[in-house]
This record gives sequence, structure tokens and C-alpha cells, in this order.
Amino acid sequence: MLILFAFVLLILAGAVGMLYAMCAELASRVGAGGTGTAEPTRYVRPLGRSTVFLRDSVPWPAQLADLRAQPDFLLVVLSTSCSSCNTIMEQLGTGGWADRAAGRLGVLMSTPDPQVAADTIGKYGLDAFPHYVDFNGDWVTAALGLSLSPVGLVFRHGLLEESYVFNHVDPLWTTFTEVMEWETHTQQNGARQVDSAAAASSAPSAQVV
Amino acid sequence: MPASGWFTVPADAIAAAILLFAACAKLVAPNALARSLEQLTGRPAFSGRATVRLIGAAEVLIAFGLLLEPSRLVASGLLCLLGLSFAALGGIGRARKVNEPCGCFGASSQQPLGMQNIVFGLLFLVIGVANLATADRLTDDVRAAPPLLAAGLLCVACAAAGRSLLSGRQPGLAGGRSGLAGRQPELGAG
Repeated sequence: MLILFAFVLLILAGAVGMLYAMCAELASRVGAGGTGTAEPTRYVRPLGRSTVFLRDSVPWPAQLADLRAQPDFLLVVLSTSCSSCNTIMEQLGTGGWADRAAGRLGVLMSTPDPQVAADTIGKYGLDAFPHYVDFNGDWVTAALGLSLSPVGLVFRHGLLEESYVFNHVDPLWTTFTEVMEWETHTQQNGARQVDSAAAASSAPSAQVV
Repeated sequence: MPASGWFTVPADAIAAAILLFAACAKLVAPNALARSLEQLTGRPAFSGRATVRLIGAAEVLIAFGLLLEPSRLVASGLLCLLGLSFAALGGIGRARKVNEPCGCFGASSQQPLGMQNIVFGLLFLVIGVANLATADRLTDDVRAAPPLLAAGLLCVACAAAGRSLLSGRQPGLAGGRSGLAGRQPELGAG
């Protein structure tokens, strides 16, 4: 009798377990507002790792040569083993980014299986971008010291300006364009100041009577 | 009660509670583990909801088998195999740096396949081997102990996980990786 009671209690506990699992599933589906599946807040923020910098001794792959020829460009590092990367790939493939970026956005796909990477690139239409399949992430680790994804890398005149972690292409692209505009603006201001200083130094001094 | 019973009774109860907790999650929300298996194996055949639910059903059977004296030894052998499988999956997931939450303990569990699975797999292996090595039959007066203990542990596990769910902390071992938005992303297999 006691054994029967024990198993009935276990079945009841199992029912409690099922209820908990249902509640956890419900909680994962419902956002903070309780209005259904909530889209996560879009963010982009600097990666902030001192180990991430461009190693000049590592040559760039030929597949990114056209990208590297641009004065400034954004390289998005993705992986076939990264769930949030799939979301980014979908955004890149459906948002008309190839036209918007005009050759200034490239994709690096890290993968343990090149065939999977090729299939993924085809599936999301990423072949419209300059892209490179990085086997086991060997190149991105050696050239940039990077072991994360998804990451956006901003390059200007061949140098790595900044690296960002992000969850949506929109804020990343906006950040990239703003950074480039700011750099251009800063350079132009600096050039104007130099010109003004040069003009002031060459002007004749007032005569001393 | 035989001397070995002081270890096997609570050990079987713990194993049964963990298996039932995990089975509930797999039966209710199979998608998380399905995605993780697909990412790990690259084969959609291993990623179906039916496959995950089958794993959950197997966990239920092994759990009850551990708690019933006639089937305890057979279930212990199956527990060893299950433990080896979990440890292997955790090792492969860790080596390939799979980012997808494994969903092993439900949708609230964000740990990917990795150290957590290795630890639980080894735990199951030890308990299974201990049962097989001792093979002592429990006396009638203590046969009710494993299921009672398992029921209590299962309720405690649900309460603890529910508390962490409400407080926003994720259950599972510390040091796990996650590729979800808002957390530190990791490069997969690179």
C-alpha cells in the first residue's frame, strides 16, 4: 500500500513538473508586456576587447579583396553554429542590404563544415555580398583575435576602427555610417584649421611706426 | 536494508527526479533541444520534435524503472547508456562551441550543450554502475523510499527553477555560453 501511495505521489509530482515546464515555455514565449512574442530590444555596442585588433602580418583572403578596396567598409562576422547569427543572416538577405551597402558590407562566415556554410549562404542570399567562408574561424582568429559572433567590424583606410556586438543590422549600419561621417567631418575640420593657421602665418604683420 | 541501499536509494531518487524533470521539459517544449541537435549534427532527421519527445519518454521509462525493484537493474544499465550519451553530446557540443540553448531542462534553461550535460551524464553513469555493482535487492520496508524521495526532489526542483525563472536568473551550471541577444555571443566552431 505504501509503495502504491509513493508512486501515486510521484505521478502527482510529475504532473507538477509538467505544469512547471508549461509555465516556463509560456514565459519564454511571452515578452515583458505580455502581448505575445516580443521582439528583443535592438542594440549595438562596442565589443571593448583589447585582444581584437588587426594583425598586419596575416594576409587577407582574395574573396574580400573588392571589399578591402573600399575606403571604409563593414565586415560582419557570422557563424553557422550561432543561433543569433541566423537572425542576422535573415535580415541581411531580406532587407535589401546588398543595394543599400553598395559594396561596403561584407560577410565572413565561420564554420566547421564548408558545405553547411555554402548552403547557408545560398539559403539567405548572402552571395550578393562580398563574403568569405572561414574554416573553423582560423582566419578571423589569426588576423583579428576574434572569437565571438555576431560581430560587426568597422574598417577605415584599411585599419580596424571599432568592433561591435549587435543583434540587428539596422543599428549596426547606422553606427557604421555615423562613425564614417564623424571621421570625415573631423578630418575636414582639421584640414580647415590647418589652412586657417597657414593663412594667418603668411599674412603681413602690422607695420610698427 | 543492505548497506549499499544507503547510497543507491537516494542516488536512484536523485537520478529519477532529474530524469523526470528533464523529461517534462522535453515532452512540453521539444523545439529547443531539436534546434540544438540540428545545430550539433546538421541532420534534420535528428531534429524532429518526435525524436525529442521519444528521448523524453525514454527518460520517463528509465526513471520509473529505477524506482521499481524488478526493473531497477535493467534501468540502471539503460541509465549508464543514457549517461554516456549525454556526456558525449555535451563534449561534442563543447568542442564545436554550439551556441543554441539545449533546452534540456525546459525553455527557461539557456545553457547550450556542454559542461552541464557532461556532468549529468557522468552522474548518471556513476549511479548506474553503482546499482549494477551492488545489485542488492531492497527490503520491503524501504521499497517506498525511492519514489517518495524522488517525488519530493522533483517538487523541490520545480520550485527552485520556478523561483529562478521569476527572478530572471537562468537555472543551470555557471559558466555556460549563450548566443542569445543581450548576452555575450560566442563564435561557433571557430
